[in-house]
Amino acid sequence: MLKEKVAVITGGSRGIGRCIAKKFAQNHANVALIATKDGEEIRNAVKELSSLGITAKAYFANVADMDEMENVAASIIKDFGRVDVLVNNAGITKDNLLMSMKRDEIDAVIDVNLKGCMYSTKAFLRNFLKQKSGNVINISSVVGMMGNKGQTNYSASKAGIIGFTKSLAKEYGKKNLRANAIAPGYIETSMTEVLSDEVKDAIKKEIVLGRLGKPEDVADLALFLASDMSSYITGEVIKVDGGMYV
Amino acid sequence: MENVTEKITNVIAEYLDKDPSEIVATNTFTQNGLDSLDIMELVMQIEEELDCKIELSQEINTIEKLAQYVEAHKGE
Repeated sequence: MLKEKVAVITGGSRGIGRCIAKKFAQNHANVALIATKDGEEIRNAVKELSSLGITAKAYFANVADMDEMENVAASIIKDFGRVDVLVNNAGITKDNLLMSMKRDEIDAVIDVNLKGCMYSTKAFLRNFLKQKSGNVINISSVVGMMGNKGQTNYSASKAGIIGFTKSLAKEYGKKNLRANAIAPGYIETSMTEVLSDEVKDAIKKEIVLGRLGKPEDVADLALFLASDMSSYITGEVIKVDGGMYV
Repeated sequence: MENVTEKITNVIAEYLDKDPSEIVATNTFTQNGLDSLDIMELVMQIEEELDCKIELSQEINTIEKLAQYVEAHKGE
């Protein structure tokens, strides 16, 4: 489905990002992963992707740093010759009640999740315009649509991503750039691993399908949005939440 | 300068599928039939064509002004 396409995935060393990278590679895309730092996780991810017979390479940058993103984008375009799909997946949580939330907890989450998404897109935009085609998939969250106590910072950043995605779609649709957002619900990753069984059970009660999602559930949608099967879809936000927010 | 103006005019004419004689260097880009996104895309093409880096501003709104900018920033 993605033969000869080049995909860039931020935060691609684990969780949803890594699963998307694998799904893309299984569908013959060449993949560039952007991670904050070198380590076993990212090396294993590249190794796993390369074993699927595609070109995979890791790059290191802080998405919240515009200059670093500009530099890393230039390196990726130089190495791969083009970029067709950008998945802005890098994200962090620093949950707290707003009353107790420290400045750093607000800034870090907005910087990485929202500004990171914007800096990353901006860094590849020139390439997309030059190519006369581009595809941006932003990983938002269902809490960006419904809100969540203890996550004012995270939900604000994810709601921001939705606004950004829609504006991006409107601004560059004419230039054959598509932009869509995926809003996952509770997905089994290291981010949700830390939740107690009690909390998980309470969450499951809120989910129509009665279970947490898997990274593959999100990756399947990402594959659809990255492929030409979705060529008439842009500015859309699609939930993968098992019916948690209906 | 004449040369730079001519080159930019040619790029724009080709982009708009018009004859260069139909493009007026002293008219605004909008008057020449370009919207803001067209201008951005063209600037990228012109940067490649003339091997320069262009930082667009509101004041650079005609081919003539763009040519002056390119001349002033040559080799930067």
